[in-house]
Amino acid sequence: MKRYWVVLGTAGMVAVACGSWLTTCRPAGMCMPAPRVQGWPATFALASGLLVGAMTIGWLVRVVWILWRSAVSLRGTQRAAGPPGLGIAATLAGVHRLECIDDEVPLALCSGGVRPRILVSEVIVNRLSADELVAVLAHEQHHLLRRDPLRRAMLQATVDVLFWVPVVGWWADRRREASELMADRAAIQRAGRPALAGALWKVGSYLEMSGAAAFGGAAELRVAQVLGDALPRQTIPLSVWVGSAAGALFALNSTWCVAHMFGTA
Amino acid sequence: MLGFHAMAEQKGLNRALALLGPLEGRIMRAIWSGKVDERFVVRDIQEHMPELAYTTVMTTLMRLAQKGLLHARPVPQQRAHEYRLALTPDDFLTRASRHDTEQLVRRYGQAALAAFAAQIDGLNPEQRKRLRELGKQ
Repeated sequence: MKRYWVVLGTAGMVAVACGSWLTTCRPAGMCMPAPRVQGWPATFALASGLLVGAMTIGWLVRVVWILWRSAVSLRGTQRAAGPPGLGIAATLAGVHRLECIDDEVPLALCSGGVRPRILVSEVIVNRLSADELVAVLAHEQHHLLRRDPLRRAMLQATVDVLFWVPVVGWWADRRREASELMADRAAIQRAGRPALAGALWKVGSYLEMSGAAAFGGAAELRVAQVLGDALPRQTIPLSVWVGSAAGALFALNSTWCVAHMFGTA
Repeated sequence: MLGFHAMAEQKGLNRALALLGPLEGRIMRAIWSGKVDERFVVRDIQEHMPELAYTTVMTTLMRLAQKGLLHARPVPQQRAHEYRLALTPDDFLTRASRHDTEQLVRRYGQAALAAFAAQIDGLNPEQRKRLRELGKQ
């Protein structure tokens, strides 16, 4: 978060300095002359187009990079045969693309951009009851059917490219929470509330004990949903609005600077 | 009845032991519980576990030293080693947690784009109790 404010602050200062320079130096005739008044709309559109194009390329590169890194990090993982109960649980959960990994951490995840698959560690299969395992697999199967790994890579790339608009990050967090809640609803439908609650408790307890970071997130909301409690209403904090307004101003200022340079070229 | 601190200590000890193998756990329980002197040799441990072979205890102690739980020092003029405690249960847990976290993030940080895991330490006691009870049904 600190790094974000440093980047935003620096970029804002550059944009403001550029704008101030263009505004103040013109009368003194020290720098570039302003573009002709009738040329402004086209120049501004060209500058905007260039910025949007650069961001789109950056977004695409980021999506590919995230998915590639994801694939690479799983390539080195040791595969396991899978305990006998896994096949039955997979059939009950309607899972087809499933692999078992040899890891001491109880883990289940869905990965892959083009052809997603589900990976579960041998430990999670051994630690959970049959119903709990079906709930976990049904949860991951929902992510697989929706191609959530690809969606999340795209979402993350959007947040990274539009880092200067914090409201995008806020919105992305809500999207991720919503996808977790949807996957949990699919798990409840398939295996029942107690099964999902048991799985959340066991996997969550392990993470708590080991101090490990959770990847799925949205724990409070997921638990509230499985317990049948009302989900809290989420509102965008004022700081996010203010940060986004500052970011938008920065983008406008940057576009104006670029337009000015094109207009005088 | 155990006091709060004693209970927390006991819980920490059990959690630390759970991260070790069965034999390692037995030996470390004896050491952490203060059943052996601050500095000890293989025979001191074996006195508490006479059913274990000398070489078994020796190998396990060496493994524990390699894991950083014990300091090992060769006894002058002898082939034996003298051991002493290097980490308390809490220190060991902290180190193990940090290691686990680093490993998890390194291995699955990018890959786990849609993982099942959820951190429950932010839940209030009432929610935790209800979740645990619902899970037991």
